[in-house]
This record gives sequence, C-alpha cells and structure tokens, in this order.
Amino acid sequence: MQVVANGVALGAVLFLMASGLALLLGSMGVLNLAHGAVYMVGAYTTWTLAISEGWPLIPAVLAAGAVCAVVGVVLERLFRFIPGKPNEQILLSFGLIYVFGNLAQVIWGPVAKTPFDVAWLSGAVHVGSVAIPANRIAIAAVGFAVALLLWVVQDRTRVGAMVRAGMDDAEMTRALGINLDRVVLAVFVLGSAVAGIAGGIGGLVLGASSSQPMDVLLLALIVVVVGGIGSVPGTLAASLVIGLLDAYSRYQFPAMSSVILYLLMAGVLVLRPTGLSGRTA
Amino acid sequence: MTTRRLLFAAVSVLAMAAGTACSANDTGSTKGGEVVIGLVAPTSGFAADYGPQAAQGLQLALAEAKNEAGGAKIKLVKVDEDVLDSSQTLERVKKLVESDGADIVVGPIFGSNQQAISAYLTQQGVPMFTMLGGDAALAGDKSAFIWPAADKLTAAPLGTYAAEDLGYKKIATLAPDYAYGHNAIDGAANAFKKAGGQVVQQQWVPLGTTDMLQYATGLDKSVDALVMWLVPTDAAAFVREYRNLGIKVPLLMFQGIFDPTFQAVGGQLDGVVGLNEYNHLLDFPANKAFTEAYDAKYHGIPNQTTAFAYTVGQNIVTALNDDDADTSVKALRKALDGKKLDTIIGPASYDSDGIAASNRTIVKATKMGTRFEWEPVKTYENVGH
Repeated sequence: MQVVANGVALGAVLFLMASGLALLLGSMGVLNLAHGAVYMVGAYTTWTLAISEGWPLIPAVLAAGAVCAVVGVVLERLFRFIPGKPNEQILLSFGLIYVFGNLAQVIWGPVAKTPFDVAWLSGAVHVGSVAIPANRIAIAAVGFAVALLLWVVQDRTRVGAMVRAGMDDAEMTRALGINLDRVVLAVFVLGSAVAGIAGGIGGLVLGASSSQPMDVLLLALIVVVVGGIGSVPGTLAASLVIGLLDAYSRYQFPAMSSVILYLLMAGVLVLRPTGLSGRTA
Repeated sequence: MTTRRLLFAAVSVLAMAAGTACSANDTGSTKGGEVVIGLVAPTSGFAADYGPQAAQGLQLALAEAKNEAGGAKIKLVKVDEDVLDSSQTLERVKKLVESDGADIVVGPIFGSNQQAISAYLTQQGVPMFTMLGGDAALAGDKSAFIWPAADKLTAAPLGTYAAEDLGYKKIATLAPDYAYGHNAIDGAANAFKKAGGQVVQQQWVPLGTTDMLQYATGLDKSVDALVMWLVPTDAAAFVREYRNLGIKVPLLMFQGIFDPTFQAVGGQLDGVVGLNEYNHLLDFPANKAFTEAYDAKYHGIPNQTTAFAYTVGQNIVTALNDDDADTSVKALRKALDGKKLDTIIGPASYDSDGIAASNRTIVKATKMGTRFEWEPVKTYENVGH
C-alpha cells in the first residue's frame, strides 16, 4: 500500500509537470520544449516569494502562475515568427532551455534550492502502516483541481470549443469570425500559468534548480507520449500509471527502475502510438 | 607522390609524434622557468559553483607562494569542466596541454571526467592532482595524485565509528548509483562489517532521480542507523521526506550537507552524526591561517572545494620546491612520497603511488549562534593507507 501511495503522489507531480505541455501540443499543435523552463520559473518565483520574502504559500504559487502567464505571452509572440514550422519551433524552444537555465543561474545562483519548507505542510498522514507526507497530499489536491479545471475549460466551455475547432480546421474557424490568434494566445497563457503553478507547488518536494528545464521536459514528454496528446483524462491517467510503475519498480527492481519508464514509452510508441487517450494532433 | 613515399611520410610523422610523447613522459620541462598549472573544474551548468570555488583556493595557495616554486614562476590557466560530456572535457584538456602548455593539471572534480582524461594525461606524462578524491586505479602506473584519499577508503571511519563508538549492530546504506557513491559508501559498509556489524540493506539511487520519497519509505526500519551519502540538494530532499514521515532511525551522513544547503535545512539535522573530510572549525594552525586568509580576501567561510584546492596547491608548491620545479610524474612522486605534509586537516602524506592519507573528522550537526555547524567530535588519522 505504501508503494501505491508513493506512486499516486508521484503521479500528481508528473501530471502538474505535463499538463501544460499536453495542452499546448494537443490544442495548438505546438511542441514547446521550453515548457520545463517555464516550470522552473514558477519554482524559483515561488521560492523567492514564499521562502525568501516570507509570503504565504498559496499567494506565492498563484503569483508564480501569473509570472509564468506573462512568460507565456512572450513565448507566444516568439512562436508567431515561425507558425506551422515544427522543426524551427523545436530548435527555438530547445535554445530557450539554455537561455532560461543560464538566466536562472545568474539570478538565483548555481546551487539548487532545497524543497520548500512550509510549516503547515510538514509531517505526514498515517493510515495503518501507510504514511503519506502532507505536502504530497497538497500536491495531489492541486493536481486534481488543475485536471478538473483544464477538462472543464477544454470540453465544457465555448472557449474550449473554439480551441478544438481551430485545431480541426483553422481556416474554417477563422471564416466563422473567430479570432484564432487570440485563442492561441489564451492557450499559451493558460498552459504557461499551469506550468508556473506546477513549479511552485512541485517545489514542496523538488525545490528549484537550473537543471529543471531538462529534467521536467523529459518526464513531461514521457507522460504526453503515454497519455496521448490533447486529452486531460489521458494525461492524468498516464501520470498515475507512470507514478505507480516508477514507485513499484524502485521497490521491486531498483537496478532497473531508471529504465522502466523508457521501456513503457517505447512500448506505447510501438503498440499504441496515439497513447492511452487515442487522440491525435 | 608514390604510395611508398606516402607511407614513408606517414611513418616519419608517427615516429616524430612518438618521440615527442616519449620526451614528454621522461622529463618535466619548465619552459624557461615557468610552470603552467591547469585547473579543470566546472564553471557552467548545474555544478558551476565548483570552478570558482576551486579557483579561489588554488589562487590563494599560489599567492602565498608568490606564484613561484623551485625557482620557476607559476602560471594558472582555468578550463571549464563539462560535467555532462566527458569527451568535451577531454578535448579541452588536450588544448590545455598542447596549446596552453599545462605542465600539471588540477582536477577535474567529477570521477567520470577523471577517468576520461587519465589515459591521455598518463600518455603525455602530465600529472593530474585531484582535489575531491578519485579512484585508486588512476594513480600508481597512471599519472594521478589523489587527495584526500582514494574513494574506497575515504568514508571508512564512519563505519568504524558506528560499530565501535555508537555500538550499532545493523545498518542500512543509501547512496547514488554511480562509481563514487558505491566506492565511498561501500568503504563505510566494509569498515562496519570489519568491526563486527551487519549491513542489512543497501539502496542505490539512480542518476536523475528527483523524488526521494520511495527511498525514505523503503528503509528497513529495524536497523540501528542509516549510513548515507547524497549530493547536498538530494540529501536535503531526502532528509525532508525522512522527517516528514517521522522516521526515528538515526542518520549517519558521510560529508554531511555542505553550505549553503546546510544552512537551509540545518534545523532538521540537529544532532545528526557525520564524517567530514574538511571542516572549517578544525583546530589546526594551518586551518586557522587558511580560514583567516580566506575571510580577509573573500569575506566568508571556505567550503571543502576551496579548502582542498588550496591544499593541493600547497602540496604542488611543496613538491616543486623539493624537485627544482621538475613537473614530471616521476619527480613529483619522489618528492611527495612519504613526505609529512602539514595541511589544513592535519598531518597528511602521499604514498609512492601518489595516493594521499589524511585525517577524517566525526562531526555532529549543531547550531552555534546563528549558524548551523558540523561540530568536530573525533579524529581518525592517516585514513587512506
């Protein structure tokens, strides 16, 4: 049971890491490899406000989301120079990883910030022999809240319908009088804000580090590949499956644990390239 | 040009290259009374703080020697160690030796890079002085001088202390799943077993692991203590999970956790026992002089990287003074073999293979004034031989 609890806790962290990336890729067809860098900005912003400046955690995390939303606006402007050019988008966003990483070292120093210590989230909840740290419960709560929010926005709102319509047929959507550029901007802002919130709340267990742009990107890409693009339930399911598999493999086959996730990804690519959700871009 | 002439030309070039290599192996030239020391340490990427810290220590030692040793001027050249790509580090070291004329290399920090450049430096006859340990196999017939001890022995006193002084019978271990982690923690585990203890669980954390919860919950709680080493930020993350889960098994930490991370999490480590290679509180005259000189120049407390770069700089100057600035591996080995070195961590020496033995200090985490400190408790002498 402890392994299951650990897996669900890790799955929640993974969902927060991957959901913004999945949203952008699924809704706009943009592979923003700088997503991990935006996550890092959220983590460092939260550290600055909550740990260095003494803000309460929740306002600090929301502020990190707002800062990252602004970063999202900047990224969207950059991506406008290369619409519909996936190779150029990949190169641009990959280069941004290094720009953000080095900027973070200049601003916050090269030494990583330890997991954020928040008094009211210390300790653990014990259920029988199973112990779940309180900060993991907070992360899971935020993760499921974000999942619900994204699902509602994507599947149950007019904005979500416009996003899906733009993805299916951009020309027709524009012909109907919908300002697709504004929709794209909104998705960038939402995806980046989610990444910022993820970095902030994820900092409770992962801290903040200039190596996060690459670390987070790798995990997020695995989740997106396994979950399938553009599906909030698919991303959530993939996060939980990967979290559980990772926890179980570290418990049962520790020497193989770092390979298991990549084997899973390779297996999905071979057997079900569209991922768990079965949707395509 | 005929094929025969081409072959002849190729053989001639190879012969000249071989001749050059042989001459480099046999004598340590000082190029008109100048010795070039190349410092190889990271100045970019996630370990970027190592390079400037090592440079501070080395420059301090060389400045104290007035940048001279054995009648030769000393010039320092700094190179960025690529911590992710050892082939890049090797290329930079080749340039350091062949273009910048480095006679002695100090560093690299990371074991993977030490392994990557060892064969080249040995072939070139260029000595490699490590600052933060190294594999014993890189010394001996290779060109490395390993400070402060070979990896397999450096943490051994922690195991001895756990068994003999703390009376523990069963321990578990935790360390990263790469060579240094295995060597260091196995050294402590072997010493514990040698003293009559039993190692009942060993957890190895794969590279790139970001979540430490599994290793905290996976601990066998029946053990008397957990002997561990992780890089500071990972160690801090692990301790946070450990404390949140309310685990009471005592922690024994090789190296402890360095500043500034220690200052951030020190409150969770109160009373934890550790083993330090360097500690700024060590009560040796050389250490007091060093910490004062460091504070006067850089305004603060030196860390282990700075301290050991300083010590290695002093060791090199001592050797060059003794062998009239002969930078060959053979001459430096002879100059340092068995020589009593009065270092910042107490008496130390290198053996004929170029491997150092030095003091280790058992420490306890405590708050002194506004700072968390690793307070020295007990010293083990001559660790490494």
